[in-house]
Amino acid sequence: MTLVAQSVEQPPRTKRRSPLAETWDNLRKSWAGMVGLTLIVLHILIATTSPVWIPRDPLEMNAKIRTQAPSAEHLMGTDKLGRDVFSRSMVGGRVTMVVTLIAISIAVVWGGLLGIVLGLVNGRADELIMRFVDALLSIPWLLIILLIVSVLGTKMWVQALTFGFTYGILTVRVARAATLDFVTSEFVLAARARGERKRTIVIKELIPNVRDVLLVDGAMNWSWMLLGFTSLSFLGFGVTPPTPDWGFMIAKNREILGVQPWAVFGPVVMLGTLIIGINLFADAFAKALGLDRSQGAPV
Amino acid sequence: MFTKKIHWLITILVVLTMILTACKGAAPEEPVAEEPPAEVEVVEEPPTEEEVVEEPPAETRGVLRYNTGIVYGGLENLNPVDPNRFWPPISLLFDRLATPADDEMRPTPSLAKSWESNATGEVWTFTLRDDVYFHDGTQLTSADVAYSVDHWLNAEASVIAGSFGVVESVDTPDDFTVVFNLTQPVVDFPLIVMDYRARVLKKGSFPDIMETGMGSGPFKLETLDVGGVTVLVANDDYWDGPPGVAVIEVFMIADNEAAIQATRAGQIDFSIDLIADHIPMFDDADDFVIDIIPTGNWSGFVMRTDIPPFDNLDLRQAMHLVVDRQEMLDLALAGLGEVSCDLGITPGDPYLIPECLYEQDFEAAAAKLADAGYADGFEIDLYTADVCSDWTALTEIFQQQAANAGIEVNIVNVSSDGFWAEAWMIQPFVMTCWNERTTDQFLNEIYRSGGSWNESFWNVPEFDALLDAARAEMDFEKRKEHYQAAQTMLHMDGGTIIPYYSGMVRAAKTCLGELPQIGLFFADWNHITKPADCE
Repeated sequence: MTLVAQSVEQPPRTKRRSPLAETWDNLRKSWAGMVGLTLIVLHILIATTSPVWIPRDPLEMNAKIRTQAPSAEHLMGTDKLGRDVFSRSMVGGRVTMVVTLIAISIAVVWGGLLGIVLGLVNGRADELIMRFVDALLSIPWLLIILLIVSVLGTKMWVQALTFGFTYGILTVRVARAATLDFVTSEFVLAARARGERKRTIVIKELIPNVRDVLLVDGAMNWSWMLLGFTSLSFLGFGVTPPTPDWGFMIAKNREILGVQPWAVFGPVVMLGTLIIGINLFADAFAKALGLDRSQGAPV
Repeated sequence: MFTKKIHWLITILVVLTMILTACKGAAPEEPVAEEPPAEVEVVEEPPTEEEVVEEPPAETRGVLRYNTGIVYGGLENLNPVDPNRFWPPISLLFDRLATPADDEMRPTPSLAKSWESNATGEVWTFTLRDDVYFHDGTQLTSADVAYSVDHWLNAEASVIAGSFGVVESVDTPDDFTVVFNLTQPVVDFPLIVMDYRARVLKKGSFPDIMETGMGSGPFKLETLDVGGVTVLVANDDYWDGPPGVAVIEVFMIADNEAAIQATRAGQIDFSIDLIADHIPMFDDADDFVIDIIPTGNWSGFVMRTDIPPFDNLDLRQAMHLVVDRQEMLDLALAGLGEVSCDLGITPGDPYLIPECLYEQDFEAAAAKLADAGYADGFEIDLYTADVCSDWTALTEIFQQQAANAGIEVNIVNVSSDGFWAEAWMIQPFVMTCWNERTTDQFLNEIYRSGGSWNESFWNVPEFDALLDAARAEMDFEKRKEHYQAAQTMLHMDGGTIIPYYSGMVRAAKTCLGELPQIGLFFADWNHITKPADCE
C-alpha cells in the first residue's frame, strides 16, 4: 500500500512531458531503433533527391556496355540493356514507396476505424463482418491483388487502393482486438453512462488509446506491403517500364545472375535495407510506446 | 424469428469460411500428391536403362538428357498437329515424308525416297520406302500416308489444315505410292510436305497416339510425363539405322534459369535456351562446348490491320520507320542474330529479299503520323507477357525508339499462361514469336487471307494472288519475283515488325557426338550420339 501511495504521489515531482517527447526519449535509448530510423530516413532522402545526383540516366541504353561488372564508371555494373544498375537502384524504390505509403495510410484509416467501431458495437453486425473478414483472410493476399489488378489495370491509384484494401483487412482484426481491451474500461463506461454518442466515444476515448497499436501495426504492415508490391512488380504487374523498379529489376536481371550478380544485388540490397530498417524501427517504436510486441501485446 | 434467421446466416457463413479455408489448404496438396509417382518413375528408370545397356553385349550408348520449357501450361499431348503439341517427343516418335537437309531448308528424302510432279505441278507422286515399320511392327504403307493427310486436314484445330488446303485428294495406286492431287499448281509442294508437324501416323492410330506416341520414329515412348520427365528408348529397328543413344530423357523445366544451372551442373547434356549473357558462365567449363547457330526464329510486334488504329496504313508505316533493327539486335541479343526486314523466313532461303528497303527515320515517321491524323502524338498499349525470352528487352527498346517520334508506348503485361488466349489476335498491338519457316510456309501460314494464325489479320487479295502465282510458276526466277513482291508488301505496309532473326546459343557436353549445326527443331535425332561413359 505504501508503495502504491508513493507511485501515486510521484507525478507531481517530475516535470510533465509531452507523450511524443517521452516516446522519442525511449526510442533514442534503443540502438536498433535508431539504426532503423536512420535507414528509413536515408531511403526517403535517396528516393526524394536521387534524380538530381545519380551519376547516369537510369533509362539510357547502350549496347556497347551490356552486362558489365562494377567499375568506377558504373558502381554496380550495367544490366542487359547497358543501363547503369547503381542509378536504377537508387531511383528504383520511388514508385514503390509512394504507392505503399499511400496504401498503408488507407489501410490504417479504414481498417482501424472499422475495427474500433466493431469492437465498440460488438453485436450481430460485428459477428457478421468479422466472419466475412475471416473469409477474406483465408484467401491468399497475392491472389486478391492479382485479381483486382488484372481487372482494373496497373495504374498507380488502382494499386494504392488495392493494397490499402487488402492490408486493411488485417488491420480490422488488430484494431478490434485492441478496442476490446478498452470497451470495458472505466472511462468508456463513464462516457456511456454520461450518455455520450458512439461517435464521440470512438473519437474521444477509443482512437487516442488504440492509436499507438495502429501506428506500430501500420509500420509493420508497411514492410510487408513493400515486399508485396515488389512481388507484384517481380511478376510484371506492378511498376511498368520504363520506370526503374526494384521488383522488376530483380525479375529481369535474374537470368544474368551468374554473370553480373550486382544487377540483382543492387535492388535486393536497397529493398532489404529498407525493410530491415522498418522492422527495427517498428520494434523499438512499439517498446517506446509501451507495447512490447514480443510480450503478446495486441499488435 | 429474425434472430433465428441471423443465426442460420452466421452458421452458413461459418461453414462457407471453413470450406474456403479447407479449399485453400487442399489446393497445394494436389500437385504435391501427384509429384511422387513422377519421381518414382524417374527413380525407376535407371534399372530399365541399365537393362537396355547391359542386355545387348555391344551396348555402349548412353542416356541423352535435355530440357524443354512448359510452353502450353501442361496441356501438351502427342498429336503432331494439335495446337498444344508436345514437340520434343513428337520429333523423336514420328517421321515425315521429307526432311530438310542439314545446312539449308531443302527437302531431302525421309519416309518418301523420291517424288516427282506432272508438268504443271498439280499432281505429285511420292514413292515410299519399303523398309519402314511402326513401333508395333507393322509395315508403313501408302494407306497410312493417306490416313495421315486426312488427319492433317481434318483433325480438330489442326494447325496445318491451312497449308495442306491445296490437297484436293490422295490416291494410293499401290502400297508404296502416294499421289497428291492438288487444287492448283504448287511447284514447291515438297516444301509443304516437309512441314515439321506433318508427321506420318499409322492408319487408325488416332486418338490413341495422343498418349501412346506410336509412330515410326527413331525412338519409342516409354513414359509420357508432361511436366516431369518423359522417357524414350531407342528403336533399334529404325529404317535409318539404330539411334546413337540408348535412351532419351526429356526434362520439362519451367524456369529457364534452373535449366541453365542444370546444364552447367551436368545434370542435362545440352540446352538450347541460352542467351548471349550466359556464355561467360561456361568460360571455364572444358567439358562443354558453346555453339552459336544462326536460325530463322524471330520475335516481333504485331499490329492488327483490320481494326483501328492500325487499319490506317500511314500509322503502320510510321511504326515501321521508328525501328532501328541493328540497335534492337545489339541490345536484346548482344548482336547474336541477323537483321530481318519484317520477314521470318530462314536466312539463306533462295526467295528471301536481300536487304531492307528503308532505315530508321524519325522525320519520315513524324510525317506519316501527321498524315494519319496524329500530328500531336500517338499513344498505344503494347501487350506482352513472360513468354519469349527477348520480349521484355524488345518492348523496352521499342518504347524508347518510338518515343523519339512522338509515339508513346504503354507496356501492358498479361499473365504468360493467358497471353495467347486473351491478348494475341485480340488486342490491336501485341508481341509474338515464331520458329523459322520456309518462304512459302511463312507467307501462307501467317499472312494468307483467312488463315487461322493470320495474326495481323492481313487480308489482301493482291497478296494472295502473288502467292498463288508463285506457287504455280515453273520458272525459278519468275517465282522468286512473285515471292519477293509479296515480301516487299509486308515489309512496306504489313502489320508485323520483325527486327531480327535470333541466333541460337547452345551449350552441350563435349563428349556428345557432334550435334548438327542447325536448330534442333529440324535435327535428325537418330544421328546424335552419346557414349555410355559420357556423364
